Amino acid sequence: MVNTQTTPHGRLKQSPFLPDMAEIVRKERLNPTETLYVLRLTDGAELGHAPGQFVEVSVFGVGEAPFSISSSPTRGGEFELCIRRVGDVTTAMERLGIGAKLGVRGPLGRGFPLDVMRGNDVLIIAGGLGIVPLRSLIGTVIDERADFAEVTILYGCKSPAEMLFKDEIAAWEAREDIDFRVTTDIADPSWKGNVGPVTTLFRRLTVNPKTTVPVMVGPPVMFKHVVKQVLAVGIPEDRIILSLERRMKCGIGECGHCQINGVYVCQDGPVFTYAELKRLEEAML
Amino acid sequence: MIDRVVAKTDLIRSIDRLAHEQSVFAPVANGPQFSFKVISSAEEVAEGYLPTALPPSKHLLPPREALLRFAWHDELAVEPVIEATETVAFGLRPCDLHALELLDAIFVDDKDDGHYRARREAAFFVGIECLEPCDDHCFCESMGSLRADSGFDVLLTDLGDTYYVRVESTKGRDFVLAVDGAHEAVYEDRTRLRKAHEGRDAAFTPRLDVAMEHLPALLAESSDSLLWDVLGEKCLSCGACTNVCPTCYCFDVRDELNLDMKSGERVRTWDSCQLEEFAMVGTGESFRKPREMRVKHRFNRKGRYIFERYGRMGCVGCGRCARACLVDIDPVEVFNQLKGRPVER
Ligand SMILES: Cc1cc2nc3c(=O)[nH]c(=O)nc-3n(C[C@H](O)[C@H](O)[C@H](O)COP(=O)(O)OP(=O)(O)OC[C@H]3O[C@@H](n4cnc5c(N)ncnc54)[C@H](O)[C@@H]3O)c2cc1C
Ligand code: SF4
Ligand code: SF4
Ligand code: FES
Repeated sequence: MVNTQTTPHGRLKQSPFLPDMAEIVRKERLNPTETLYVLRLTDGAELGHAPGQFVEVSVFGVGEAPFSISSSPTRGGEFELCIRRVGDVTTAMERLGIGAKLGVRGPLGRGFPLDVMRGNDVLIIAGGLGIVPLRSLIGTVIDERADFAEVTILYGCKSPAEMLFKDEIAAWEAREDIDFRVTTDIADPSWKGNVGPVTTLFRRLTVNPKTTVPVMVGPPVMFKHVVKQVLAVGIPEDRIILSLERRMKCGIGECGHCQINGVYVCQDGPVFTYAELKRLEEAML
Repeated sequence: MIDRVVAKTDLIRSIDRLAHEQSVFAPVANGPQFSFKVISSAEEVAEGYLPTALPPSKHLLPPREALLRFAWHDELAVEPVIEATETVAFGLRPCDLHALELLDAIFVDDKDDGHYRARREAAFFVGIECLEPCDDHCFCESMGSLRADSGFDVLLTDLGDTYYVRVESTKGRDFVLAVDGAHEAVYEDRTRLRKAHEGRDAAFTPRLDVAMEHLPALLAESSDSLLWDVLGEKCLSCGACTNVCPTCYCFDVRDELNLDMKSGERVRTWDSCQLEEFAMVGTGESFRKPREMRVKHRFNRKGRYIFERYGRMGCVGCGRCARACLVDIDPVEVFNQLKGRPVER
């Protein structure tokens, strides 16, 4: 079969791989490897995402890669991505200027279960880049603060230099209605705060297992330890929420790259409950 | 629709006419092997062929397929590439028809993938029944894919000098009516068909020690089996098995620039879960690094995951992977050993 002519058949549904167009409205370097991109769809439409969802971003001629949406949907209009430079697409993005056009497919995947969190205590645990998707959730929780009971945020990073969103963090810290705590694995001379992994922050908390919904995003080692801790205080498995990262090539449950046993992270996740994952050996929890 | 009977020579002549007018895709001999090719005359068609090295489904999902075309002229322009050529695919075996139906369930019914669907809709399928097993590797009977009941426009059964033609679509009816001397099947034809089927049913014996319906449970409870370690030590991670499998469809996506550097294509290309990079992420972490995990993943997709998601088996028992494997990893043995047959190291 040679591909030469356009099919005369049926409705010509467009490709699931055809992105919408977006442009870079603003760009802010957060530290040597991470940059915040503010994007807007060129047709003026809202992205319409839920916290925890992601988009596939195209730099045409270079490729496509998945990124969490970091802004809260409650802020509307524009949306934000926070991207670490690691390879082809992420490096190409850094070279793009204001007004440059990107492709965006999404929002994709299943986000955080806000309905489970509403009315309950929310315990957000971020490790490293995990703060990026959780920032979307934090924004929503702050904007709809009355819907949630106690709100606690634990954030751990490797070093003070790697800490993202420092201004926003200062604002979260200043709020009376949020218990925000941060720690770094290694301190530098300027650092006056906690030192140690994020698990050390958890140890100092008193959590009510009946009303607390822990939501965690971070590297695999963080999940291993924190899941153990929240289970130990008696939080049920189906109320422990985590978001996973896997290699993704399609974002729509076709290409097979993101599979964890029979589960597609791109489509069934990236947000899961611990109960959904604990029997999957490839989840590595 | 009304079944017909055609003389073999008349059908061949009809195929020959078609091959001059449009794209006809059929099995041809290729040394000792067979492969599907676009033919220019019916002489090329290999009758009674063994399973082709590559399955016909790979023509709906080719090794390299453009998804998007993009160009920067005054402005960036991006368009989807949804193209297909009207094609008659002649001589598809039941196992391959079953594999195509699985791909339809995924790419058309579930994903509505226009790229695949365009080619699928432009294809006309002439199936041909198997009346005897092709070799020691095939186990279609055990995987429920020896008999084809759908997924074709017409289905041929070899009755000696004639073909019995089951007609399943209006396109199929038009096709068979264009064959000289095609006549409606009568009682005697149906009797001969039944005899052929009885012969077939006697010739194919079950090869798996486990019923197909129980494969998902068997695999689920075999997650800790030592067999995976044995297979992991043997397997070369070459990916030949996934390349030849009619139901394997995992892919990579990347951009290719044209020489003008002002235009290019986004393409999808075959990929294999047997390769270590397949599940590797930015931090250099591969989520299926040990080889035994990758082998286990493949067999779980074939006998469990795909079934759990789409209600159809991810393996049709064509035996291609076993024929292609340099170290003789054969799904029949794997499933039977999980069921309790002794493992030979
Ligand atoms: C749901 C999801 C959300 C994500 N959110 C963010 C985010 O908010 N911010 C951010 O900076 N990064 C995020 N990532 C990771 C990001 O997708 C990868 O870093 C990105 O794909 C690398 O693209 P690249 O072309 O620059 O790198 P490449 O040149 O493709 O590769 C560089 C390295 O990254 C690896 N890699 C390739 N694809 C992926 C992938 N999909 N995930 C991880 N590693 C990959 C390669 O194996 C290679 O080692 C997310 C990933 C997922 C799956
Ligand atoms: S063909 Fe055989 S050796 Fe190669 S990856 Fe498949 S099972 Fe392993
Ligand atoms: S796994 Fe092997 S036997 Fe089963 S469909 Fe694929 S190639 Fe054929
Ligand atoms: S990214 Fe392709 S299946 Fe999930």
